[in-house]
Amino acid sequence: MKRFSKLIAFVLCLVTLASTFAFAVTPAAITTTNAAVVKKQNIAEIVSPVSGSATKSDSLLVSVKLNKAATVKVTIYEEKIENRKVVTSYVSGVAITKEAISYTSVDVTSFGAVSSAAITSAAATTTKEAVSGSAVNASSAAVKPYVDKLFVSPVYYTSKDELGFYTGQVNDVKPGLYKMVVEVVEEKTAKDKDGKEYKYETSIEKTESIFAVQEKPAEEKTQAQTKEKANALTIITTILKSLFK
Amino acid sequence: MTNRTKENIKSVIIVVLFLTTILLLYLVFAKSADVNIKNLLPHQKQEEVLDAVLAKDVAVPKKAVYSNGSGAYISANEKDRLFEKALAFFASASNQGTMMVSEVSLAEYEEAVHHAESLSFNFDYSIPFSEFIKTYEIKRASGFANINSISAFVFSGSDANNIIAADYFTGKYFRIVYESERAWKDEILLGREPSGESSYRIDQVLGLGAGALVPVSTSRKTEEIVFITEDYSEESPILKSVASTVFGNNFSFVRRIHDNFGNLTFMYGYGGKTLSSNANGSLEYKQTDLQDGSSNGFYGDLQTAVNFIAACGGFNVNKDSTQFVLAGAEKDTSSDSYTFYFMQELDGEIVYTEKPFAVMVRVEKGQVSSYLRQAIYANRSYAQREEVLQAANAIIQSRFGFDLSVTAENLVSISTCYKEKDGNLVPSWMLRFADGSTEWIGLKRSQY
Repeated sequence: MKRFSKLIAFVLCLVTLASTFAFAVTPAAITTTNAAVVKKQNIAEIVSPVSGSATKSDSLLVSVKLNKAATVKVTIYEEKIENRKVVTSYVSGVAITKEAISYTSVDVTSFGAVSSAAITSAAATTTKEAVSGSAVNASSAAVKPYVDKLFVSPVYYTSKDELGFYTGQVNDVKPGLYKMVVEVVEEKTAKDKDGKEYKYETSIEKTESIFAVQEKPAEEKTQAQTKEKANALTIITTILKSLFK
Repeated sequence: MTNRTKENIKSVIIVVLFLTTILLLYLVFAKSADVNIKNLLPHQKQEEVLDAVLAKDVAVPKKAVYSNGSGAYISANEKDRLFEKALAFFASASNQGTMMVSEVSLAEYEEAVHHAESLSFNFDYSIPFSEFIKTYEIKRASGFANINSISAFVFSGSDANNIIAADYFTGKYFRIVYESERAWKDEILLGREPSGESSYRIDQVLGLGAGALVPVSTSRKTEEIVFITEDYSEESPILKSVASTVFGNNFSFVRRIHDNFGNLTFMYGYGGKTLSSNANGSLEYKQTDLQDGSSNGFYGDLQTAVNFIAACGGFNVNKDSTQFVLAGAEKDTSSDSYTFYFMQELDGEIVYTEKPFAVMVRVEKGQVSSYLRQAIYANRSYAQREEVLQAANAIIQSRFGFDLSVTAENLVSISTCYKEKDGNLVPSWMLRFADGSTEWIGLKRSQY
């Protein structure tokens, strides 16, 4: 019996020790999970304009959330269609041909009606292909490529707090397709071949939002207005109320 | 002559003298323009004061807010000019045909204000609608009887013909439909958006919360301003002006009492009128022996209040210094009175001191029955505007909740103001929360 008690005691000790290990492991696991979350968490998030949205206003709210102390560079581009055509001119009877390039705004009239997916898909075509020019050549393709044209020059904002917002407003925005690029930048130092120190900026994170700005309808009637303004019953009720008040 | 005859003659003389006395008293007190009992006794001189400031120029909207219907709001710089134009438009529309009135729900009101192009004029108090239309010469329509009071009126939609009359305090909303084909935007705003500070809904700016509007402009004057509290000591011009107004030019029947707390009180009669210069820095006047009379309504009583303030210490004399603005009006039907509360404004920003208001005037039966003045004096700053703490980051600095989402959900409003701190007026953000609490955060990082 005594041996059995000792065995029980030994087993209990083992169980207790094992649980200690188990609990000792748990915080580490949590930390690891948090670390993973932190790693995944963006330093800068674009709150407005929401990517894939279509707005009917000539002013634009810019809001960027910073999840840690950092410097962001906010730039807005208009996505434009590049048009190339061959122009022939004659100088002293000699025909000279050259390629003329013009840019036109994207017609986003139907974007809101289709769905925000249209904007997102349009955005997908905007990517590096258009910039590199390879897609420009494929102008006969079903989807036209877009080119980034600077609309609002880069604005730098530094947050010294663990949580911060950069907010601003852009006025006189014409209808079209736009892209806002938010880069988290760091200033670094390097030495040139003469050993002289110089500073340069490096981007450590990049977030984009593609959105459409549509023409404001000339007569946008609200639900409240389109309702019958004062039906007969309302008029009679009003008159009766005023008579017997 | 017998004794009996003598006594009869005496009786006749006494009767004649008695009647003559009554006749003379009648002539002196009632008929003579030159001799007036009111001029012989201590009285209130406010009746003689000309209307230095008109009540309708005091009861102006706190804000004129334009909404483009897409979530952007502009607090118009020229609110008073727009208010004048809006009233002229309202009056003109009322004369051009029949106006129809129908009650609408809060949802319909919000639809018209927030989801359409609109221009709202908001007051901090309710104004009786019948007085409002009479003051601004708006032609009465049959349905107007249903609208008791308003604290806001809104021109809504790009379509021209409806005005929403709202009273936030009673939760009543009415749509007034008029026949004019003229567009309010063309008439009031000359067809374009007004200039002013832009705000957006908090959910658009932070991605959290609902309701509150968050300004996105970051440029403000940040200079702290030195202020002085008004002097109400015995020799001060303000106390003398009040004493002269309420007691007349002589102190013959006025008692002077100094108590142990440092308060100085002047008392007329058996406490019918008391004027106190209090140790806490306030000036207080009370009158209990009111004459028979009745309220002159919101605008009438407000005019009485403004005239009294002008005579008793001054009302908005210097445009470059602190200005009184009407911040509240309470009607008490049981005592037939209106109580008006005035805050102070400097350079367009409300000033918050340790005191809840700068001036309170109670007008009872058409006469001032109570006056409390605890104002400050400061001159506006001519400093340049500079970049300040953004409103969104002020919300983060708030101590209301550890979680930003809790703060955002409970935030009712955020606006700039001047807040008293260490003897200065500090330019600050003021945050109001749903539970009634308020927080102030300095516009500069060093002022947090």
